[in-house]
Amino acid sequence: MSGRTERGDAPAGPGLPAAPAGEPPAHDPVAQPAGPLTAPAPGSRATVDALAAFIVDEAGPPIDVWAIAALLESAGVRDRDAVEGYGQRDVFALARAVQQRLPDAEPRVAQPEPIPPLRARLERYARIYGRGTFFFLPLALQLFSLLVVGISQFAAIHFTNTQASVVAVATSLSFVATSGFIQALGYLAPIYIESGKHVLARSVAWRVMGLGALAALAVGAIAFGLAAATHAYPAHELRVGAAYYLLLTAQGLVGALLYMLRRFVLILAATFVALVVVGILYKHTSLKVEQINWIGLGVGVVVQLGVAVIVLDRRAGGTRGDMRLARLPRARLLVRRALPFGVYGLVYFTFLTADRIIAWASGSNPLPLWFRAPYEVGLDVALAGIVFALAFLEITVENFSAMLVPTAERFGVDAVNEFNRVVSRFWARQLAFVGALAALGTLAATAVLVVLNHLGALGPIHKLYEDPVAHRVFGLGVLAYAFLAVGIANSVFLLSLNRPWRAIASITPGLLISITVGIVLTTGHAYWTAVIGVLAGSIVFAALSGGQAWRTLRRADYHNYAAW
Amino acid sequence: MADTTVLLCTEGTYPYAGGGVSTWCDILCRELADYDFTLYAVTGEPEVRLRYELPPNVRATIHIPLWGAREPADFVLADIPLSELHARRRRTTATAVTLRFVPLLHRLLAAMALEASPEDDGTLIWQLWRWFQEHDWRATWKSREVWDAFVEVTTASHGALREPTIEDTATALRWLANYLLPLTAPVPKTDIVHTTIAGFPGLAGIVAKLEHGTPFLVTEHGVWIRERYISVSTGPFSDYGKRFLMGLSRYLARVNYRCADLICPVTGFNRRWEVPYGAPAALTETIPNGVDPALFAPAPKPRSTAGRPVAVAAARVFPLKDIETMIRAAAVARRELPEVQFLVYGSLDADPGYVGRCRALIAELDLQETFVFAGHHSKPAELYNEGDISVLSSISEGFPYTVLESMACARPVVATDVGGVREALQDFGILVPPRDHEALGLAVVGLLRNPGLRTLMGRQAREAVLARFRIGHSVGAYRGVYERLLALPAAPAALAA
Repeated sequence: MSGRTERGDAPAGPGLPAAPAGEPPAHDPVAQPAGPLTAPAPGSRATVDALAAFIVDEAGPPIDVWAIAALLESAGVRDRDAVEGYGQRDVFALARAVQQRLPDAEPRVAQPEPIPPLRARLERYARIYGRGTFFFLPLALQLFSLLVVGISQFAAIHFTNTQASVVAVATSLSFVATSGFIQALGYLAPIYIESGKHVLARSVAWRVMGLGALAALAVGAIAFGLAAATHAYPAHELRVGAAYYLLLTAQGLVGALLYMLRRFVLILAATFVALVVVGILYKHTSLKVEQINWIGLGVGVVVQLGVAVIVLDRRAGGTRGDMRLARLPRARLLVRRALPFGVYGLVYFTFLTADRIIAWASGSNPLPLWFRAPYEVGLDVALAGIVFALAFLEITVENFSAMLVPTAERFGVDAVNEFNRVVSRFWARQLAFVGALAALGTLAATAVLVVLNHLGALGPIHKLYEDPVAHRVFGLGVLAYAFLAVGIANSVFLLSLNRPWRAIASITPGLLISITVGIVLTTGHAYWTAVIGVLAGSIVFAALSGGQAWRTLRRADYHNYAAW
Repeated sequence: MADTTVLLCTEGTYPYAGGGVSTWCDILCRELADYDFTLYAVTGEPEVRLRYELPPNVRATIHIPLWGAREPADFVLADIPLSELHARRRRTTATAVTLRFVPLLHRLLAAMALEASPEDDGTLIWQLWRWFQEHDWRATWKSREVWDAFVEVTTASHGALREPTIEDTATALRWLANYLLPLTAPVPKTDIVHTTIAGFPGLAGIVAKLEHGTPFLVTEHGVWIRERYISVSTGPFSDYGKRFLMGLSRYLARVNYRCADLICPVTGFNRRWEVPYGAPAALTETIPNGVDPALFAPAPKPRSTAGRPVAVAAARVFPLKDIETMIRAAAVARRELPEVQFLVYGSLDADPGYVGRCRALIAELDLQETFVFAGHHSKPAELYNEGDISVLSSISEGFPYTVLESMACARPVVATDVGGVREALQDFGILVPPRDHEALGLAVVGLLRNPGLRTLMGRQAREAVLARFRIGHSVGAYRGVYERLLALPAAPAALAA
């Protein structure tokens, strides 16, 4: 008996966990017309006992005598049959006679799904985990191209620090500007996709994308306008930065469309095609690196957008029957629903980038935001270590979604406390897994770096490997991201139970602490101390979200009910 | 604009679906052109399209999808300003829910647990409606106070043979929220409320009676509570789920009957259920359906079917019509009459799985040349004239139009003896037991082989329609009922002090 749909695996965007909030029941559970029952044929010499056995066989123990009468009639037994076949005044009298003769029977209980064999479970985990890591493959492909070919879609190994600074700022700004819309899309569109309302899914997708584009344009106009008005950046750098910003914003938004449509391989393929184009242009033409990057980004955007348009249109065109008539609620209602998920996405991405901006802004530099390669490498390697833990969150989302209802089906209504304890223990186990994977991932990332350095295979980042700042940032960054992973894991539970504001209430203080500590430390100390800010913020996020998750899951009975 | 207004309440029928009830509604609205109608249409999902061109005296349609919407503001309250929605949410505090809504919920659950008729005269429904006119539906049902109260009641007295699980309980409360969603809709003040079923649409009638003092009329084509018993009993629910669903259905049916000023089933067969279930016998009057004998008039068979014995059927292909029995009957008939043809006109969209089973059976019995699904007929009034007789194999019926229409066309009917079919057919057709394909097939053969009997029965059938089952009879009876209701002394509005 299940009254709601589950949304357990809708990716909200790269690096973000899904938000499988429950939806209200979509259909009348009693809507299906009953078919003819196969009762002993009326007029046959069937006995009342045979009818009683038939009733229990067809429907289990009947609700009352009226149910018996209705079932008899639906099986073709008429008043005339009751008189002629069973010696009763009418069907109702026959139903009463049947009720007296009902055999003892237990109500039917839906058999729980058998636990799949170990191999099948491992394969499933591997598949989900693979999907979790898949989120990071396009970035890995970019990194690989950067190190091997010397250029990626939006960076080049021989960038000057000025170029790197401009591109880094544009990248960070595009992340922050689009993140809320990406997360909102990841929440809204699957509602319509999973109910077969693909026309609405397409409509929502284009609306959110359109709003995202407008918002990103506004953010860009303000940011670049301010920079121009204050003469903080030379005009050329501003123009270059604006071009990167626009293209990266477009890539982020269309990439989110493909994530929403679960076209992961196509994302990878589009990235690959764009990198091939970039590589060929880099090796065989005299175009500037920026121009090659723009072409590469443009190719990626066009390919992904083309695929998204085709898939969305094909699905919308294939929408069946009355589903074509589906219409969206008022726009302001949609905004209200998606808002918390958008806010969470915005705060989350701001959290990921704030310390870098603070580090880039500290000290006296040629540009207001000055790229710090050792800081970036230290943090990025730390992030690479945490990827294994973040990918595991895919399994957490799926497992939580898969365990909640079956567990609620195992416990009687008088055992809510036991149920809540089981769910809380599940949460604790998942946190332990995330923590362990964060530690293992960090060890693995460290080991890989050490081995590569030993083999002399670090290539162009060898110098940075020797930089003590990179080591300090890596060490503190690892800790920070481990706490961050725990915070995200807690948020996964909160989002799954449709409690986004609790997740926001956890991450926002963390972000504020991160910014405050980062600014205070970098004002009086070296720029790399910004990483201490993100560590402090992550600890606060992990602690607050842990409290919120505990408070929520100790009443998992209520939150499971109210997740719609 | 007419002086008299009627709120006509439907569920899953007019104006968004075809079928007998919708036909009846359309006839009623068109024929009573001096009344203005507002439709209060409860449907399953929001995605529906108009299946009828509404007559000009249908002034408005209030569409209430029970399922598929996240909250009433999506569809039911789509015209309510967002500021009002916000105000409702603001008013739905934990304290308000605890002090005002939870006691109503307790009373509702207690009433649902009763096997006998509830004491409630509709006041509880009206109070719930008043709550949802001022408070937010979603915030109310999702509140912890409501969940805790529901769990407490369920733990103490669930009434099931097996203790409900936590998921059973959660699902049941979500069901309750959706089924009572009509209580969020405003109920317009009209002169009469007329519901076509004693179920969820009747909530509007109960509310109107208590809020505005509006007379409340119930017409049942099928008996809602009986159909709920069948669907729920055979549905994929736990024992608790069945009892919960039927508890709610039982309560609603009985409050509908209790509040109605008059109950007009379309067949005496329905009274067999309604009166023992709580409908006051003195307030129950049968008004049979009627057809237009000028529209449904006898005509010779067209060239396409001339020269071949043909049995036609007008039926949506879904399980209650028991088309499988008709197919088996066709095999029996072909055994005796090899050139016989069964032509079934009607929608194939209602239950594609069932249609697939039927097609497989046709193939299995090698009946492709004998049994034909002909889809929609462009001129429904003419389809009966394509055959020599018509066939009805349903296992459940109210007072089927298809029988009356065929009779009006002087095509005798071979039908299963269910519901009000016997009342309609009288002696001018052949009745067979339901689910008995041998009897159905042999009756078809008997009539097809006997043109004299066919002609005689056809003529008598048409005369019976002219005498008793014309639209004028049916509509005239409703006009009389409306006038009687309008003459009732005004019921005390808002019984609540």
